[in-house]
Amino acid sequence: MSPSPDVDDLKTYSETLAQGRLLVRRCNKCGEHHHFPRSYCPFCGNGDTGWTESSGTGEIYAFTRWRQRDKVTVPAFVSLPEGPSVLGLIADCDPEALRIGDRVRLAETQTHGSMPVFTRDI
Amino acid sequence: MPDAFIMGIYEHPTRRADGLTRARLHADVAHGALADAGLTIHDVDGYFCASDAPGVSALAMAEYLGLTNVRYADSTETGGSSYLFHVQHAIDAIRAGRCNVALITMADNQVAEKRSFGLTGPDFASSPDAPFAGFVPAPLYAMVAARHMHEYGTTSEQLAWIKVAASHHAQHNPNALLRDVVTVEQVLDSPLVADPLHRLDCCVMTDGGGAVVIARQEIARASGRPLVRVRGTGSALGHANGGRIDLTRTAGVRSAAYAFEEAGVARSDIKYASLYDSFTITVLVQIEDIGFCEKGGGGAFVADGNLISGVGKLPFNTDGGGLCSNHPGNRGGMTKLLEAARQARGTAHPAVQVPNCDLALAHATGGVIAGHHGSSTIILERI
Repeated sequence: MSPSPDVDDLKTYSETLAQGRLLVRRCNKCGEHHHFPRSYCPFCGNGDTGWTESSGTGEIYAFTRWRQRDKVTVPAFVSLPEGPSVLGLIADCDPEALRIGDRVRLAETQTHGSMPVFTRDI
Repeated sequence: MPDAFIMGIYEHPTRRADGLTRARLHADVAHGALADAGLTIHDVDGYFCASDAPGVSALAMAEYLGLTNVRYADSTETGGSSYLFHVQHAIDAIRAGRCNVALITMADNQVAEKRSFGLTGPDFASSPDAPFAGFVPAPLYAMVAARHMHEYGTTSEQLAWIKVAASHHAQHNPNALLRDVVTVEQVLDSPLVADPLHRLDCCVMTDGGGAVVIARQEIARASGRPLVRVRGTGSALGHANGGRIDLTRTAGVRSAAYAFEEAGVARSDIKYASLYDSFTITVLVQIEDIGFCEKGGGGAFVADGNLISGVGKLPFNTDGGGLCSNHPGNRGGMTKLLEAARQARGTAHPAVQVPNCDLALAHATGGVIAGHHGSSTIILERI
């Protein structure tokens, strides 16, 4: 089966993310999810992968309060229930109150380039 | 199997190369290392460099240097660990009879040129992970530290001891950018860059470079110069594995295992270690990955001066390393090789020279731990 072009993958992913939904790539053979999205499954090598929509929720695997001049941004790896961890930002909450393991959900209208923005799920 | 020896080493003294081109810097270190080996450009038949070399790297610099006998060339690029990969490849090439004298060069002038923040050379924008990994190293390594603290209870004080040890060594290096001894308190009082990493948990940014000459044993033995044998090498690639990440482990687990297997020595036999030190957490993770202590035990291992020469059990980066001396091109692997070779030769600064340093190790992680990276381990033996 011929693989789908990675450039179109990024466009679909980014446009969907801008609408507040997070797509994750899933292998149509072994069933494993991966991130960043690829045409070939990195776990079994199969060349038939497709999109699934993640729940948009996850758990903080690691984060940092990154201080640049007066601004503090919060890069984080968020582990999705589908399996992969995705790199993004955490916003709209008190950075000092965050802990590893906290539940977060996709912030509906924000992105950081092609990376998702999450907020604390209280 | 024919053995290969490190015959020549040279480190550029500059930390800010105003007015010096990258080609000139590569030539400075090439000629420096060849002079140290008692050889000339006409003896070189193997040439190795990464993409900090200008132009189409090995091709352009072979011409600039006037190398006319090169029959083996390698431009392996794994970021800051490239030069350890080059050592491994040079050893393999010499053993296979592909070349006799291998020259490895590294140099950069990005500070003087105010050129960039990252690695010189690679086309990062074309990397397939680029749209999904858009952060510079500091916040990424901060997350490595944060995760390590979460899983193993590692503390900022323990990380600070790594910088403290480096500063104790740097005071004896006249070329080091930062020569003042610092305390744990001073590290913790320095501004947070990205929690939990403070400014003094981060390496310096400098220009400079270095070169290594490796030769077949007959040539090395005939020279009458200090004999440092490359006893074991190991390399491995690591990455984010489709999102199944483990920020507390690197491919160094594998590269070190390969190197120790080849060398046939134990971790406890190593008298000195050059460890890649882009950040203090980089050192700690590598110490565990190499197997100097168990995973999670790095914090206790590095504390209380255990990395200080003459004080602790595992003297590291006795030139001051990237945390204090230099980190040319944001590529710290070459300078790690150079100090390990000095220790094995017995020519480090007397204040930091490890007595009877018959086995020294150099280890580097290029790229980023939280993304794709190349780890390489080199074990050197004084003959």
